[in-house]
Parts: sequence; C-alpha cells; structure tokens
Amino acid sequence: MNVSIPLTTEFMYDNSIVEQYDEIDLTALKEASDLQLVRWAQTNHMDAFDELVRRYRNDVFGLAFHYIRNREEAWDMSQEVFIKAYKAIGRFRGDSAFKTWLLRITANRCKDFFKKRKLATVAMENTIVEQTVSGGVTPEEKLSSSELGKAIETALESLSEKHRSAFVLREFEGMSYDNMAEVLGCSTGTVMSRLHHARKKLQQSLLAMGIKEGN
Amino acid sequence: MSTCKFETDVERWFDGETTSLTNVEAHIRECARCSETLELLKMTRQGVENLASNEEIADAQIPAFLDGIHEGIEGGTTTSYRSRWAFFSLAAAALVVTVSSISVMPFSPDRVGAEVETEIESVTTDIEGATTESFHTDNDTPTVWVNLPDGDLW
Repeated sequence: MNVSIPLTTEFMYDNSIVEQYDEIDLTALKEASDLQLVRWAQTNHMDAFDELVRRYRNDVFGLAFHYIRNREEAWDMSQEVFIKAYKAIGRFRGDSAFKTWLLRITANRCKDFFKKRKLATVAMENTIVEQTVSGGVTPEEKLSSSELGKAIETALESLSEKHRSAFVLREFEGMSYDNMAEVLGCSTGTVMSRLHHARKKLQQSLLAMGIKEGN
Repeated sequence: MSTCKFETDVERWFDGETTSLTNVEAHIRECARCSETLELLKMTRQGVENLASNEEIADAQIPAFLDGIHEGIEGGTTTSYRSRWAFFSLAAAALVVTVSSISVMPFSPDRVGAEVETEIESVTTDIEGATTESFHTDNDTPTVWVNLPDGDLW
C-alpha cells in the first residue's frame, strides 16, 4: 500500500509553486517518529494520524477503561479523544511527548465524564467499601490473583476522581511522577500526595473486605 | 495505627523514583510499619497486574475503531459502540424474520392473491427527528419510507 505524503520541498513549474509529493510505503509510516507523524497529520494526512491511532489506541483505551470500568463507554470515549486530538493537532508544538499530550486529553475527558455522570465516587470519597469479594473469601483464605484483581476493581470505585486518576496513571499506565504531573496538570508534589492518599484509601477498602497483605 | 516518617520514601522507592532516604532496604528490615507498607504496595500491584492484562483494542478491531474516528472527524458525530450493536442486532433480527417467513410460507404457483386493495391512510413514527413518507410504486405496491436523522446510527 502506498500513501502520498507531501514533502516540504516546493519547486517552480510554469511560474507556479507546485507542492512536491512523494510516494512512501506503509513501512515508512510505521518507522516514522511520533513527531514526524504529527507534522504530516498537521497537513491533513489522515494516514499519518491513523498510524498514531494504531500506536496509542491501547494507551488511550486502557486509561479510559481503568477510569470508567466499562468497555463500551471506554471505546466511545477513546474515539472521542482521538477526534479531539485530530482537531487540536495543529496546536501541538512538541513541548511534551505526543503520548503524554494524548493522555492529558484522555484524563480531561474522563474528568468530564465523571462530572457528567455524577458518579457516586464523590459521595463515597471518604467512605470505606464494605463489600466482600465474590465467592465469600475470608481473611483466612489465600486469595488468587483474579480474586485480588476483583477486590481492587471494587475498591477503585470508592476513590474520588483525583485519587483514581493518580492511581490509574501510576499502577495501570506505569507512569513516572513527572509524567503524571504533566498529564494531570499539577505539581509532582501533588501527584505524590494524591497517589499516597489513593493507596491508603484503597488499602483501607481492601482491609474492610477482609483482604490484607500475606493473604 | 503506628506511622513512620519514611513511609512516603518507601512508596517513592517502590515506584522507582528518587528518595531522600539513602538505604531504604535496610530501613524496611528494621521498621515493621514500613515493612507492612511495602507488602501492601506489592499486594496492590499484584492485583492490578491481573486486572490490567486483558483490556485492549485488538488488531482485528482497528478498522472499526478507525471508522468511528473518521466519521467523527468528517461528520462531527461518532457512531457509538452501542448504536453499532443495536443496528447489527436489528439487522440480524430482520434477517431471521424474513428467512423464517419464507420457510413457513413457501411460494407456490397457486397462491391466492389479495383481493383487497391496500391504501396507506397515515404514517407516524416515534423516532425522534425522523420523517416519514408514503407512496405507491409503479406496480402499485404501497410503500412507506422512514428517513432517520443525519448522524443517527450511521
């Protein structure tokens, strides 16, 4: 498959400026840097933007899913994020990595989602989830990884949007504190504080479910 | 519950970030509170790893995913995952009904034709934004059209 990518070179032909196009194959698109793809996308080349979508679809989708815990809604939200990114790509200057910029849009969309839906997370911010893990696991029983995963999923529901953001970016996306600060638009100190409190609340919720370390 | 002023240092160390505490491992060995903190951090991460493994957009789903993005860019609205499924479900149901009707009422040469002429008196729809029209085709078949609003389903 060949795609037409405009080069920056222009030449005079019959007294008019003609933009020179070159044919490059899909391999070249795949090997291009993020910034190069962004530059092409900024000249309305959808193929270049599609390649960026392919590269970061799971980062965006994963983040959206871990925020809102619903696959269908995460799918829709991920598409909205890329649409918003495409429309705003002209303003991307490369001050941060493209992925960081994209995840910032995702985090903001998720924040809006929480506001719109008025999820119970705000009301539950200072409460402890008192539920048992499905299957009636007692503290004496050893937890399997999947049971622990379910417990964490339940406990995540008890976190506020800010605490959940910090936890998801660190634990699910494996981001550094500095990157998290960029995505969340706050200081590194704030990131550390939110993450610390998120973990504390999560651990309290797990303990309330009868789950503690060493189980 | 006891606390330790180095708890946040343990957390930063666990996350691979720099910490002011130079020998974290030695401190954890001596401090029961920080040792417990580390175990809780490990347990949480273990649970997360299990949760995080299977949520992705597979390669086979990329064309559908890209289609929705292209639609959104060109038309300003996207076809939601739910709408897409609703459309396919309706289409599948319609197909089943059609095939069932044909198999239950096979065509035969001596079918009795309808003697009564059918006329459309009025047409309405509950679908928001949809318009309807009715007419008779060249062979006098009464026909009803429901025009869905732009951006709905497709």
